[in-house]
Amino acid sequence: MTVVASHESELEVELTVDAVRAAFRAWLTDNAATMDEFRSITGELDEVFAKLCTLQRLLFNAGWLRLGWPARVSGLGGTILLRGVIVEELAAAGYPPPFSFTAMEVLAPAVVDHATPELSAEMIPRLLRGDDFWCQGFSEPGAGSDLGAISTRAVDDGDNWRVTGQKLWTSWASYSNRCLLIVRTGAQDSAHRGLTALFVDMDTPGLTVRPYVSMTGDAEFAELFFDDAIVPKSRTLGVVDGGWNVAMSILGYERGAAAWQRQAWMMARLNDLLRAGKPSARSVGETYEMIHALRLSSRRTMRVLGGGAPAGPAASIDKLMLSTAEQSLFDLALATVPDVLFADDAETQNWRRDILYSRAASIYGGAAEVQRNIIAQRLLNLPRAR
Amino acid sequence: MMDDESTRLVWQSIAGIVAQSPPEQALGELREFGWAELLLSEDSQLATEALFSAQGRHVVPWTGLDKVLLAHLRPDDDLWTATVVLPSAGHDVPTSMLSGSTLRITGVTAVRATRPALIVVPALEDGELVIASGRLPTDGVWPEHAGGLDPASGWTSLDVAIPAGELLVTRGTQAASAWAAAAAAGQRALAHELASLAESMLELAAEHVTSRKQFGVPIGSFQAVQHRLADVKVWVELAKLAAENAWEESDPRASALAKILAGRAARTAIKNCQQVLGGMGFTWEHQFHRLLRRASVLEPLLGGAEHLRERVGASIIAAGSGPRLVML
Repeated sequence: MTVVASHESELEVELTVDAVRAAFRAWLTDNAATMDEFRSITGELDEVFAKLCTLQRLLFNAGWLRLGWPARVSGLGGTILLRGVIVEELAAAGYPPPFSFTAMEVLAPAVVDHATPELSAEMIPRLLRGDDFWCQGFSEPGAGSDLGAISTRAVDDGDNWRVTGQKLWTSWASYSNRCLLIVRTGAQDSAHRGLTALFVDMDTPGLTVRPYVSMTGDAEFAELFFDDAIVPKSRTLGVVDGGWNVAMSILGYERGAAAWQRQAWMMARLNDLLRAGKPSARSVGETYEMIHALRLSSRRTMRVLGGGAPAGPAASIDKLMLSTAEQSLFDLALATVPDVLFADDAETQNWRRDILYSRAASIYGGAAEVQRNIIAQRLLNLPRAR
Repeated sequence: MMDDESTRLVWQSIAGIVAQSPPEQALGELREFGWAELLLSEDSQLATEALFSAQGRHVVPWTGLDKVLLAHLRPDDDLWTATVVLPSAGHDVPTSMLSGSTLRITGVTAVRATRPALIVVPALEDGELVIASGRLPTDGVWPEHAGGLDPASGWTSLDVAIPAGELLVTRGTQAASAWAAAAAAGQRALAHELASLAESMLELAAEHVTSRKQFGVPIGSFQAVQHRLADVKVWVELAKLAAENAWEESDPRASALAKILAGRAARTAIKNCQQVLGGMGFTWEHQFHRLLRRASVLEPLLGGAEHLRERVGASIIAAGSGPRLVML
């Protein structure tokens, strides 16, 4: 086990939801002066990321970001619910989510579940502390909603894999130094049975990253080109040809726990909107209804995950609610603060970015249509198409 | 609080009474079972959830909803011989008026074979909320038949004036807080019943699209059909979670939100399930229309979803932030 001595925190708190909530609220109050610079972060992406990274390190060093993780990855123990409390109280106090919050909830739990103990003990603390940033290499030109069609190949070469192929839609890849990659190790027609998950360094020779710009104007996405890139077999997550399970567990965490983060942020943005303009009572009621619904389904999933069970197909409800709530919120923003559409100032930039970004919510992480297929076929047991 | 085994037995007994009792005896059997005592105990969630989920499932021609309100308005009276007049459909504040010597009763009420010994009427007096209660005059002001879209619901509208002289009137904060608690409890009960009605519609539709074949395949294998029912499933699940949550919150807006989400589930089920049931679901013979009628008449009671959204939204705007509900 890696002990990160220089970052041992003084944090002592009973590992219950209520105790952690009270202690973190008190800490936020006591440290309001130090935290003030993180309240509103605007500017160029590089500056924004640097600031969010500082915020993350501050919270890690104080111990808060180690709650809800097991000791073997330098955590302080407790369940995923404690992480949910931290993210929620941070948002409620008016702070943005730290740099790696999404990777922490989407990718890191799957790494803890599937990596060798040595690998997760090395990598998880680096992610939590803000030393590393991770991206996710799933989609390909020919494998979007149909993840079983992945064709990036990993060929067995003794102690290594040799990886060749192309990934795309990889968010923030140019800012990342690790990638959780799904590759084909079985025959080309092995569908979801012949996939394997790998944990790849972004500076691996043979891996080229080509960023491209999303419709928000940010160079968010990247294509990854693998040309006979060598990945040590010690970086295999889970068993060979067991990559589908890793991918499903990642999608479960993404639909479940990451949705809890997102709703905490939406609640804060709704409150921002009330200060920014005068929305109609009916539409505020409806947007709150949607966020309330997301909280309900997401809390259920958090409790399932907290009990050590997989999120299961019910998490598709969370993902549908996430996109419904987010789009309801930013449609309301469009109607409430239309002036921001004609402004260029940094202060209103977040509205423009969030309004545009909300359109992606029903596409990423499994499109709304895929979620409805899952709900129909796995929750309602309706017959599959022939 | 009860243990799991006792809880299960209570559910079973109440569901059995709702499913099997002849309509005119059902309330009597609930009385004998001790449902009112359960409702007034710390297990009122169990009493409410068990009864109203079963009412939704079996679409019975009677209701216990007035008892749920009476438990907050007149907890010391006999719930079984009293009834309450709800605000008119679509309203969550009283629509009856007390002025001088007259109580003008405008609202909806449950029709019973026997005239109630005591009626309780939440009303407004100079804009202030009051609770008036007393005996009915002997002449025929009380409705004997239900009508409208769903005569079997047992609900009917009422618009009569009676002398106020003999009535007991509660005023002030006591009346206001009793009504707020009663309305929230009624909204929770309706949320359970509407969620259950929506779930019943979904079951009918899912069964139909699985067995009905066209073009050589079950119509439920078509994505257009699957997605309609997936949406119903989403709102049914959320309505059930919201109804459960309303019991853990002290904020009455959680009860309004439960009713809002149950209303959404019911409306989505009415629209989407009807569509996939096709012509068969439009016949008198098919039971779908009974569910549709019941959901349609319950939805506006104690405030329909649109009305309640506006209420919740206005309170959030006034406070400057949304309430923090559904805590981990």
